[in-house]
Amino acid sequence: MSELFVCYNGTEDCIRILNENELLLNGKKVRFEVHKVNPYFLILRAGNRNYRYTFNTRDEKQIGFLKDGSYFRLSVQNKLEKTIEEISSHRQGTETVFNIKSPMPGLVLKVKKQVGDVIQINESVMILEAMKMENDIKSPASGIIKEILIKEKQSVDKGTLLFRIE
Amino acid sequence: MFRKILIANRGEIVLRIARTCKEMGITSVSVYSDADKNAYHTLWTDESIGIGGNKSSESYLRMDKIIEAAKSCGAEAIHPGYGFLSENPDFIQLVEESGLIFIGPRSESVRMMGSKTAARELMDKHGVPIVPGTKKGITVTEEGILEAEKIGFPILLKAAAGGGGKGLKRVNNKNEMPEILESARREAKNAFGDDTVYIEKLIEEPRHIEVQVIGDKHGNYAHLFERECSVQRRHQKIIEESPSTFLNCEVREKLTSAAVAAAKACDYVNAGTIEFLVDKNKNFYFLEMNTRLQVEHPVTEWITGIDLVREQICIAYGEKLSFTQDQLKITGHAIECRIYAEDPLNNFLPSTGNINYQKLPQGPGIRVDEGIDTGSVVSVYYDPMLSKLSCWSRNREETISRMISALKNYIISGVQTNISLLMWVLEHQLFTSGKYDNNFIENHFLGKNISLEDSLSGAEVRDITAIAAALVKENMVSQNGAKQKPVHRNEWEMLSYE
Repeated sequence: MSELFVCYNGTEDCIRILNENELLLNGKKVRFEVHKVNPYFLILRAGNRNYRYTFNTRDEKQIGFLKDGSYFRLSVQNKLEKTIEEISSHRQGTETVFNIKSPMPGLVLKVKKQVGDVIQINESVMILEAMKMENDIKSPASGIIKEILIKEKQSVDKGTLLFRIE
Repeated sequence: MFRKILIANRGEIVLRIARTCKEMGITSVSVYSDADKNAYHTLWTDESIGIGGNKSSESYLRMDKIIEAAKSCGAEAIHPGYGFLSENPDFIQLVEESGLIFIGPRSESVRMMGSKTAARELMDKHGVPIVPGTKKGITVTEEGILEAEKIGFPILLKAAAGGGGKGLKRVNNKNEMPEILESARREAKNAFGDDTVYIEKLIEEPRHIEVQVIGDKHGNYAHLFERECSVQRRHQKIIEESPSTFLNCEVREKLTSAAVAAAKACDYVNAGTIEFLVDKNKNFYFLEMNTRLQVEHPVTEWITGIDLVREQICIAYGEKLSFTQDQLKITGHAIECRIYAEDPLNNFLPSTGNINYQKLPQGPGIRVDEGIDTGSVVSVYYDPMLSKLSCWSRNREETISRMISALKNYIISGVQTNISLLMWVLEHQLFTSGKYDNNFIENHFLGKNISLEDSLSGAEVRDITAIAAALVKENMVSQNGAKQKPVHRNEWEMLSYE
């Protein structure tokens, strides 16, 4: 079994799973038991303690859990993914492009910016109506608007590319 | 008693009403849109009738289809729930004229209180204090600025036909007026089909405290004490409790008397709520009347022991109130948390998806009014409220502990929820001390305040969590049982959604 790198809150752990009940956590052997209630809820037992996790979200990099009323996301990568990321982040250097995607399906009510506008972080770029509420879509970064890919009154799906900011 | 009731709504409130129907031996009938074909409320009522469409305007707001459904199934009465058509006097009138009974107030009372401008005038006439503001609707920017300057900025723009925070906007100065007025009117138009908005003075350090009132068709009235609803975000309530920590006996007496006077002023029948703004000096002002069952009614049921839905049904049938004012007293303390599908750490963006798994908290003094089940779909078409978690105990401190414990045991997978925000509020010193106002969330929640590190502070917990993440990544969790399938859904759902 290959090594996995789990990153949470700036620190990284290296995990090597040995078998169904044993793994190495940063080189230290840990015994555990997994009780899977269903694919979305699991109870991990280590020593005498039970730890309950609701598995909530997952994208390419991160895994999200709900545990005791709190949400958190941990990034998990295997050796290959980690290496690829290190190479690509090195290549990109300081030049960064932000793609603002629609976080949910909805209707574009108002586009507040034009191509070429300078935009600050957290500044509102457009208003998206979803679930009967008007939602401000804010910029994740400061920069210049390079491209606007939608028009007012347009319906968008989740994940539709809205703006490109450089 | 009625034999069959149609519930013209969706989500948790349908189940809430159906539960009381079941107790009373009444057959419950729900209606559903195309998107809700396999929704929880559709499947867990005795009967269910499709009324088509996905959008509310094509389904839950279609008066003709709902009345037709009620007639076709032989229902004798319609319970409107909250939202949708519940406060639409034209609908109530249609129900009345069709020979069915509306479980709620008469159309004239709703018409009177439904226009917020008319309601303010009526209250003013009956000696119930009102917030300074315009009595008529605002349509032109210049007029808005002129009126706002008379009252003094900052002001609020409010939808005349509104509620639930939709079409409600703060304006700080005259420069903001054109854009915000346009936006408020647009939201009002979309939500209520009426773009009339009016201006109200913004009360500083306000608390939102409301009084549950009830009246029967024989002229008997009672109040069921107050609900404190000051934990709000963008004028949407998040946490409600009863009794309020802010009221003393004297102010409670004045407030509840004013509420009953307000109900009498519009000749009110059935359950209703008078909302007040209370300033830091405990002066109170009439805000609006909600002429329907309120979302947060469970806290009142906890502290009084009265089933408000049963009372509503009996009143509609023509019975007298089942209790008198002096039989009621406040017992213990209740808190309700609204569980929303939204991400507090990402600008409260609504979250949609399939509910992969849900396991609700249980135990003494814990109640969940849930609108979804494992396998349900949270879509963009409707309000993102998933459920209401309410707790009761002998005193406020115990109730808060009970609620925190219940939230920790609230298991839901598939959408992001506001559970972590609710935990943060309940543990916040301003909440535990009871010294909060309507601006609490806006002033104290900065998005990054919900510290997730706390829950992972122990080195052991942190290690185990890292292990859990690694196991999920490697799909190891599935090896203990059957091989993991990507999504667990029933076949009915696949037919309609895929």
